[in-house]
Amino acid sequence: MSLKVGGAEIIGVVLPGDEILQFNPDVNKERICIGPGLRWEDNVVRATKPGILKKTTKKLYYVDTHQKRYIPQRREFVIGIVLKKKGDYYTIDIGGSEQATISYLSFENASKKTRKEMKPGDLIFGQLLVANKDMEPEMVCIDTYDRAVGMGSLPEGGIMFNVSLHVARLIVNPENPFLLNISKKVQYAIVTGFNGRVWVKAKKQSDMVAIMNCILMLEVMTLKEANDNVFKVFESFSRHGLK
Amino acid sequence: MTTMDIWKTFEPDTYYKSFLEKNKRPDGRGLMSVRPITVKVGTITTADGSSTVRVGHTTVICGIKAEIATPVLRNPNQGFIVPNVELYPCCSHMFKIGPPGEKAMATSQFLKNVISSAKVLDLTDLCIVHNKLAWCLYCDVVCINYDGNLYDAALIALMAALQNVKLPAVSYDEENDKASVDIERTLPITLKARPVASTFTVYSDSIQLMDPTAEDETQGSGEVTVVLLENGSLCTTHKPGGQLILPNILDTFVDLAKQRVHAVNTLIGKEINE
Amino acid sequence: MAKHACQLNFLSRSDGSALYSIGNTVALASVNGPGEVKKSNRHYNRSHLEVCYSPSTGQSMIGERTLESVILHTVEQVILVHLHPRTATNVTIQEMQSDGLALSTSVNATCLALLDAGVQMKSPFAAVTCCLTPSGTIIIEPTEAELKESEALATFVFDGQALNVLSAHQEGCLDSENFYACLRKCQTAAKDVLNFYRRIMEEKYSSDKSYN
Repeated sequence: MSLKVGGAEIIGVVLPGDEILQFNPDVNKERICIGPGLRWEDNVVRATKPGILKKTTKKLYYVDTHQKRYIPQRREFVIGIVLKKKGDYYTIDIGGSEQATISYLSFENASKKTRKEMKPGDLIFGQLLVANKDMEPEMVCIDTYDRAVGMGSLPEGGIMFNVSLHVARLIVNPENPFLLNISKKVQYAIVTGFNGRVWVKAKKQSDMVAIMNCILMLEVMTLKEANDNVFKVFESFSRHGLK
Repeated sequence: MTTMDIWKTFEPDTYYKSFLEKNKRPDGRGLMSVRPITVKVGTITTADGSSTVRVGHTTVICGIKAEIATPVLRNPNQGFIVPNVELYPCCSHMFKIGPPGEKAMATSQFLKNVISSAKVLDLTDLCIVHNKLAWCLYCDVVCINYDGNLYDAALIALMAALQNVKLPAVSYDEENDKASVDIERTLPITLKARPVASTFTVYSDSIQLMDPTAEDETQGSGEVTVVLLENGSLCTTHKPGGQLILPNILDTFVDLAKQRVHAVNTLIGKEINE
Repeated sequence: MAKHACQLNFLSRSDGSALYSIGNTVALASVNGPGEVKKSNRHYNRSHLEVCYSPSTGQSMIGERTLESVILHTVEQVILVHLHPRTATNVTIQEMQSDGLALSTSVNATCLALLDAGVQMKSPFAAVTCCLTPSGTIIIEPTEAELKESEALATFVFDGQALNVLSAHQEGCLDSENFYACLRKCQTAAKDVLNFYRRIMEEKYSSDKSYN
């Protein structure tokens, strides 16, 4: 019994220690890729996290887990909070076990003269350049061509809140109609980091709170249920006369 | 430094493994052989009962102080026995000064468990006058030198010290509600059971080590302690996490422990009678 | 066997939590981590683990501290600690209601809280307590009253892969025949507990399967 969702085939719920498949590189000539939540040991691929085992068409297996704690991964987009300035670097809280750093040169059009000034508490959206278990994570706000492509410090006036990591992954998915559904109600800007932080900006404060509540519904509801309830949330906000 | 020392310092894991491959341990023992035990009783003259026990290099002193207390309302005809283990930094660098650490507390609790589950003492024997007076035995176990296998050594020391205890006779004058202690006349306490612990370190699925040294304990992952009575029944099994073991390995442990019970108890008995 | 029940994600602010009950014994476990670590606890090759058990009344005494150390050493063996060096993982267990099965309930609560938090581990683990009555029958998951009457009690923690013994704790005398009888009975009961875990997790992820 399998189901296709967004290009990945759902195999089923696994618990840590479950045997996924036998794989012996000497015998099996066909290559497979194992993603997060899986380990290959003694010619057996086993799960290390509970969750839904998925398989893409390119034989990539991974476990989709619901978790709240962020573990930094290279190339992931995250929202960080500036903590302090330390020489040529800023230390940033990205929700992982260690603070990340970002050089003041890692911004678009930054040079030694026109350096990027930020103060503690500012939010920045960037990408992780270095993230592995043995090193301090490093963030950048430019791509390999020195362009910002949407990264950089986030403007004033928005609100940031935390969601579970799977909710963050769900709403960055471009095929997801949920955010478009909200946009029928109100105009807004949204930034989602893989570390479970979401930043929203709209014209009215009450709209921002309403959007936040809509997104937080995904923590406990299926996408369909949440979609049906979006209008109710906005209704209740207007009924209570919050402007 | 010899080449062996350098090897040991830089690659402790492979150094250790090379011994195990030849079914030996760095101290020359086989995997299932034990270290020599020496027991000495009455080493602390000011205590009511005491013993010094050496298991290899592990040295433990146990002193028992008897005090007269009032029984608790719940058990008006019972005395008390309070084991306590102290591990000071002088016995190993593993221990820090300050409140008792995890190991010390685990060992204290272990001794308490063994005493209650093996029914070593009939606590009613410790009662002097119903609901009025009872003996409270404070058993303090102090480790002098730590070289692994604290559980076994602590239990041997405690059992030897208990057999060494001489309680003075107490006479109670009901009319005046006064108790008088006759230090001249002393009586030993009767022990109902004499449990002996045997600890094993699990190194891997196929390798287990009996009577581990401190080095064995750090290299291995997790200990299993089985406590047996003289009749061969199992009174405590203690395995706080550590490497997985197959149930049939426990069988081997129990068999080996059975042989040890007799040897240890004769050793204590001999020393007591001297 | 007593009734097992569990509610995941009971606490909204911790990374993973579980309210677990066996019969009338209830424990709440919460897991945080892998997160920031104190300098003194930082290990270069593995995550630092900490277990804190707080009883429903009074301060934690020596008995609770031993419980902590048993759970710590059990969890240490199962979590893949080397995957997150220089981090700390904290497990906090709150006793809610006690009916004699504190150890097995808190171990099982810990396991489900770890599963809820998505901490990487080798396999789940399940604890089962049994006791031997004076008449020689073995009761799985007894009540406090039954425990008082019993000759001996034993708690075993099994791993989820091959049902090998991870931890064992026994009080009171058992001859080896009875000991193995207890062990085997607990092993069978552990299978049911592990199946229960699977049901709970399938429930948790059931909403996810149907999206789109």
